[in-house]
Amino acid sequence: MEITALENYLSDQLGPLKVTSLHRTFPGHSRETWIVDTAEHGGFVMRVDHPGGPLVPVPMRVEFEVYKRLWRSPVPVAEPLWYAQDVDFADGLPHMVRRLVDGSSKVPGLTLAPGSGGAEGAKVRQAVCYEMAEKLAIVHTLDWHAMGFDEVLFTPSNAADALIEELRHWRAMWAEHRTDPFPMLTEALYWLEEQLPPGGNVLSLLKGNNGVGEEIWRDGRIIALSDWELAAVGDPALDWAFSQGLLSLHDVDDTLAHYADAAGFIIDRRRLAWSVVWIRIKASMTTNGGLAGFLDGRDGRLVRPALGMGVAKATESWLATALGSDVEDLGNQILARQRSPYVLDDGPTPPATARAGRS
Amino acid sequence: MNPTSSELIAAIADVLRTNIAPLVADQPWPASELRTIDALLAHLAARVQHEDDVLRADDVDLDALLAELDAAGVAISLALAPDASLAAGNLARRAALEAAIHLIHDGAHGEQVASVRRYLVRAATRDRLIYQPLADRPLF
Repeated sequence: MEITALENYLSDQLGPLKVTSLHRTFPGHSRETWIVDTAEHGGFVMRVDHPGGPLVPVPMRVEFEVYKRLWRSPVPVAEPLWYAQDVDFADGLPHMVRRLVDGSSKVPGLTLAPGSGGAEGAKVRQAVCYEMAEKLAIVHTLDWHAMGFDEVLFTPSNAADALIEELRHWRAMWAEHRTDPFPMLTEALYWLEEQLPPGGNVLSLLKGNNGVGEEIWRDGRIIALSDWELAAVGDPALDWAFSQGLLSLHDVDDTLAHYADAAGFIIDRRRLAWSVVWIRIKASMTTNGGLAGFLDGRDGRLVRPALGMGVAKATESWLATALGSDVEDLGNQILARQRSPYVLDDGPTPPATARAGRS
Repeated sequence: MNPTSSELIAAIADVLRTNIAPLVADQPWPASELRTIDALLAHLAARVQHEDDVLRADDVDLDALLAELDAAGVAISLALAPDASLAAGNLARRAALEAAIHLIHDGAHGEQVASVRRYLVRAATRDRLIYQPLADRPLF
């Protein structure tokens, strides 16, 4: 991003200003995320679509609409400022701007292993899981209809059909965005359909993509939930299924019990196990869709073919050992084997590129 | 002529990994691009070596499966251009199977579903020859 062009653009929106620092966060393959500091107006986070479009097949405008609604809710998020596209900035690509929140995506002490931190690390991990559980409970108990989330997000017709309707919604989207036939993934969707768990009596706003490093923390608390590009309305088990090792960070039963106390309902473990398997397949569908921008020449970044082929083929390889088996058993095995990337590793100093407001 | 394509690709990857990557180790984006290149080169080396054999074996397997489905009354739509490349021919067959999969989950084609699933396991096993080197490495 060219700093003078950025300065001019922000000055047009906010009044005269000087950009004092600008850096792009890493990773950020779905969309570019830039941290902008100004002397006159403080810091901002700018999200910009790649020339080949987002990796996730959801327009940025939808994510911005989610932020707007969340900003007037009890859910902590950074203040969204504006969304634009087709303007004389960033080659007309869709982009959104929000205020920078003063925090970090790293939690001190989280990675302290026995021996280097003893019981202290375990206490930090328990506190982190409780905090995540409490914040997810706020999201999941929000009155999504009253706040208009169903105006912009996929919304199942009822709680009992939430999982099957989510699967069918993604199957339809994938049919549009995928780059090749994938008979294994197609068959796997029928296998999942055959074994849908019963129940489902809660429809919640879902964040969609959860994990310690997705959020902005300060003094052990989440001050901003970030990255809402996969937000939807659906079964709350889906958010726990897509939590990037959170359920292996601390005792899973204790974490989910704490969540149940905060939310007022429990996560159905059968639906959680099914969702864990589904999320793996959904992830490969998402990353394959991003390959389209490489194939049609809009986006030459090599990470597109690497992810677009690699994740789908790795999932197919895994499905070769799983297809036809009991989905609930399989999901529980995955949960039992899951290892958080944050456990048992000495905690490094957060790099400057990972500071506040990322993603 | 020696070296083979796979050997050359492996040598290029080794130079990038050994001589270039350390120079950008403190720059997250260039370092990430090199990891992606390394994974793609490993995939390419395997692809050059195995792709033709894998696709030919898959075509034979798919032709038998599609014939079996057709015999069971499942509509198979496969249009193969006479001059289609090996890759294009295989993609057309996989697309035909994918379309057939949507037809056999009607409760009346249990045997065909089982046949398809057995094929899919064989196909994924073959594909590992080409794609496993990609899966074994960081993608970014």
